[in-house]
Amino acid sequence: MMPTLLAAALAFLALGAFALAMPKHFEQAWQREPTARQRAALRLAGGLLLAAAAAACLRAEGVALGIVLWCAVLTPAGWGAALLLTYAPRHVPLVLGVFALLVSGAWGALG
Amino acid sequence: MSASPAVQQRGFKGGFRQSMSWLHTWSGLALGVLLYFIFVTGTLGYFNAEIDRWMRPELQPAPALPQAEQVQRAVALAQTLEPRAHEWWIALPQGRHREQLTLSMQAPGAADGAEGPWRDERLDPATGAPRQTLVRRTGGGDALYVMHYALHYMPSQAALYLVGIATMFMLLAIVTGVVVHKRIFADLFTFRPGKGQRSWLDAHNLTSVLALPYMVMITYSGLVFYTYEYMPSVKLALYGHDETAGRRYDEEAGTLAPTPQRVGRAAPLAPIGPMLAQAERAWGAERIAFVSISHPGDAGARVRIERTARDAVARHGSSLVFDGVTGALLHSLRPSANPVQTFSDAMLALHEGHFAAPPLRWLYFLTGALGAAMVATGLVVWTTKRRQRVGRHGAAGAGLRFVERLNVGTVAGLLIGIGAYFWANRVLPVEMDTRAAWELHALFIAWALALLHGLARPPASAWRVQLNVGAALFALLPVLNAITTDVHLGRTLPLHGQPGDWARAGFDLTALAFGVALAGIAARLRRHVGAPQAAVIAPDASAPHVDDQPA
Repeated sequence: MMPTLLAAALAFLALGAFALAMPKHFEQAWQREPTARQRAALRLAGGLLLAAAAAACLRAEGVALGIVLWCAVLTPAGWGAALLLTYAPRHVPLVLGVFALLVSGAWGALG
Repeated sequence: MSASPAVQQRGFKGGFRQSMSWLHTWSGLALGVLLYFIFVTGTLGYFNAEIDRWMRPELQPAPALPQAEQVQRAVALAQTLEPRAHEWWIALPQGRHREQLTLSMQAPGAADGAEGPWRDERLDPATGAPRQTLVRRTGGGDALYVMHYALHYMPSQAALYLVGIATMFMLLAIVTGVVVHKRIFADLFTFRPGKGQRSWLDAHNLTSVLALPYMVMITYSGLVFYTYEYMPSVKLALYGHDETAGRRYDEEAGTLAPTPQRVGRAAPLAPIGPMLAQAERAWGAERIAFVSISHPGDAGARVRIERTARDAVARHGSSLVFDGVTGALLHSLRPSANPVQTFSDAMLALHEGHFAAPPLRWLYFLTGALGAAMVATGLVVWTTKRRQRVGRHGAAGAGLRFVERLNVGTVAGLLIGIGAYFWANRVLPVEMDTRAAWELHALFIAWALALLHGLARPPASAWRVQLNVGAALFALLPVLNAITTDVHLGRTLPLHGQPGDWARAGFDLTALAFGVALAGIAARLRRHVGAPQAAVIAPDASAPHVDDQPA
């Protein structure tokens, strides 16, 4: 249960970062245009978080099941990002921040 | 591009993307009803064991015996019931399927070495004996699961071809869908609610794109299941089509030991305990899936013990084959002998998801439900797009009006049918002999009535009525369960120190949540469809008056 939740949260953070890297969604969240540097940073964060989600899956379930789990958590993670951007766009940074705290706590607890 | 804009406007001749769009639209529509049925029933199949458990309320959870003990008691029972059998087959409870201890016995055929008919005994894993309590006859979750490829009311071969065609169209719709979706990355997280056609298209894109790996996997692997049914020529050319062809193919693929042969000389079966112990040493405790005993009592007896495959992305476990008289180990077989079969097994295992523990199982269920939603929203997009073109009160063609009305009974109606299936399980008399068949009749009768209702009524009101009926059917299931059985939420939730039964409690809670969700959708429809319609009708009604005014 815990590894799945951790992987799902990481995937959510990753897709959230990727979404914010798009000017359209960045403006929804912060009401201004992103700089090129901000976009690059968000994309990099997204990539690293996606890799971290994969690492969490592989470590918990091994290669075969880990890949399956990684693909599986991307779906609800994407939905989470999409619905959040639709219904509470200004709270996206806050929600992502809370998730980041939870994830680092869980990552520490799982060792 | 040399084609002029005028030529590009002319339907599917106008460029690659337009022709893909045409293909996507019409392949989706042509088999939408069947694909929706396949997605809904197949998705429910991910919880077949839990649904089975809910639909058999008489079964009481009791700790199962150790596997070796279960097998030995089943063998002892088989000795008394069918001592001269061609084969005994013992399926052990595995993981979620904890009620399943089945002893299947194949009688010897008339000719020497021939195979007779099979019969099954369902045993209690807690005692190893046939069940004493009356358990209602029901198709359970498995009936729903099996219908997603074998359908119902038709020969299974015909169903297989029909489902195969639908699956190929599905694969086509996925590939063409990715091609025609110009903003697949730009709109990856975009949902714009309350905008009619735009919103439906967003929902269709979100359901499919965010679950795209699953959609591709489930559709492709669905075709792999029956590769040799759909494309038999290579196998037929190489192995012929006599009755031993399948067997020879399997033997050459290395999954089976040589077929056990009856010798015709009586010899007592060796004790099976040491063989089970050897399997346990090789694989660990409680890892056996099946035990097959061929020609018991004959000098040619063979015992095959197969390991469970449910802890890996695989379809078959390794197996050990013993001499049934001496008890000596003859063969140790790997689950698959070549990369092609390993690949095919992995695809099928991914499709079935037997390996999935509860969190991953819920994700399977969720993405499967998104598949159903993808087909449903696709059907709605087809109509809203055309409705937009003709205007809300324009002259819609007969085709558009028919599909609009058919969609209601298809999408909402099937959910009513599924609800009726569960209701029938609780309402039909427990002793009824044909109750398993009538549960399914209830499903299809309810669905047929919903289809008729959808065709007869204006779509907006039919949607509301049917979604509300579905909501009531599902939300009241826990209540019905509490009235008709004693395995209701008060008993199945781990309250007051009782152990709890999450399979059954989960069913009740999921049904309740689903019912509430359907009611929520119906309420939204009232707000969104009801209001604009009134607003549009008003100016229309006043239009003549405006015209009457002298300019």
